[in-house]
Amino acid sequence: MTIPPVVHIRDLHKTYVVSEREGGVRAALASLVHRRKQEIKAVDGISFDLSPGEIVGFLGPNGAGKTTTLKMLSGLLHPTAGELAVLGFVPWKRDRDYLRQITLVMGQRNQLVWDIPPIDSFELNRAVYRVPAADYRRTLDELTQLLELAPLLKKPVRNLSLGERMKCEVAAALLHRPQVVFLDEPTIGLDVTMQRRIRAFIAEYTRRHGATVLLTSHYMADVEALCRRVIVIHHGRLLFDGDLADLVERFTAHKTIVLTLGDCGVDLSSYGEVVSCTDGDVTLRVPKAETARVTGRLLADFPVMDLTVEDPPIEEVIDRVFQQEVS
Amino acid sequence: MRGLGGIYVQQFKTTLASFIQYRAALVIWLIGHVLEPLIYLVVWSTVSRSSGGSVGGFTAAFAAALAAGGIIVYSFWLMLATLSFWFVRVENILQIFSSMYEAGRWPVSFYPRWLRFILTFLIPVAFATTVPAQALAGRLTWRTLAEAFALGAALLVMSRAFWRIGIRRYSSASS
Repeated sequence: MTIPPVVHIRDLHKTYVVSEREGGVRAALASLVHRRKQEIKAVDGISFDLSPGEIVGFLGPNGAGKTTTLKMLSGLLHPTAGELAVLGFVPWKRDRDYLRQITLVMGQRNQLVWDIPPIDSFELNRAVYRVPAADYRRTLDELTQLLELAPLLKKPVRNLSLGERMKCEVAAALLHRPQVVFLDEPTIGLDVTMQRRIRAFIAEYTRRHGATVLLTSHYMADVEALCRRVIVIHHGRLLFDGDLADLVERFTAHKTIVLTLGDCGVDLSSYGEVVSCTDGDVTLRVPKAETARVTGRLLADFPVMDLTVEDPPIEEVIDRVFQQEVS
Repeated sequence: MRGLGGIYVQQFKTTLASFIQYRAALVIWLIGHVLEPLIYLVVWSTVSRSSGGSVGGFTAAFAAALAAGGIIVYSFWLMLATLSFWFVRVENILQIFSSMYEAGRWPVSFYPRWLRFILTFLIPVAFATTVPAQALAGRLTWRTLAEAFALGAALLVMSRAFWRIGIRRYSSASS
């Protein structure tokens, strides 16, 4: 028996109508009479399913349609066309039983009330989601412990640092123990340590509660640490859906060979593209298929002290994917 | 229904907490919004009594008229604000409403017939201001009060429906 998917998307579309005009007052006046409208296809026919308990990375360059998709999934936006179901609900109907089971965290937005301590906002969320007092107490204790919130809960939100505020935002979004968690760049603008903290928390939280997570981030470290599967979209279309490892495999035609020769005077251009040479460490870029052969030749031809073969960094792979047009 | 009440109570507590977070802002608010009306009330009561009138209508009917007025203003304001789903910026419309509201400071019976009609039905400030004032002066009829509540109920239903239509058009901005 197959388990029904938590998230089911088929041929989803969202079109925005945007008016545009040339710069200047004259054009501004002209646009009062006649307005040029343009249809922007923010999401242009994407399909995917998420299984229970999956943590999936949702990648794409700025403006690819990630946030629009997340907003449709959480019922904020009405899709233009297509099929969309989460936990068997139609999100835009905003059924209370649905909303109680999901959450959306946007790294660039905040829901905590600015002037007062987070604990007051937490109380408000408790009332909104009708969390029973005992459950609330237990969840709050758990989140406080996992995210080390204790010293933060009683300070006004405006006095918290970005990282501290983000921890509280994440906690506020999870007080009702949602089964499906949509995270839109939860680590944006945070320092490396805080990013790691949030990341570790998401991993621990999903391990404990088996939540399904769709995660958007521009930090590949987030994706590498949390997601086995990634979905890549670009210009509102699906570009890739599969294992992160396969993405790297499919979109990299090269491998990097780093060899320690202790000398930069040797000409290696006949072996591959010399990317750099510092302190006798030569970095070569070679086509993937020739890696083994080139490595063998290098080892035979030169007194190599050390040699490593590496995949290009994930950032480079992603950059390559983003720069491709949809075929 | 109990849960919904809980949300409102908690929302009220949160708003109150934000409100009393800053002492200076609170003091200024107390002066502007509590002290000033109280002074007006005392001054005008005195004026009224000295010229043979009476201000004795602090009754349940007054509270009811105020409540009905509140519902009417809320619904009307909500409908105007909902227009922003279509027109994006509606501050100007809200400003017009505010000016009209100023006009409601004086009993609508002062105004010519056509303006009275507008202030009663098109922009229902009459019910929000004149009716409670009538209650204070002890001139409120049960009929007027019932009408105020009927209008309030109708507007509340309408504004909710309108809001639900509008929210479908919500396209949100940026991320």
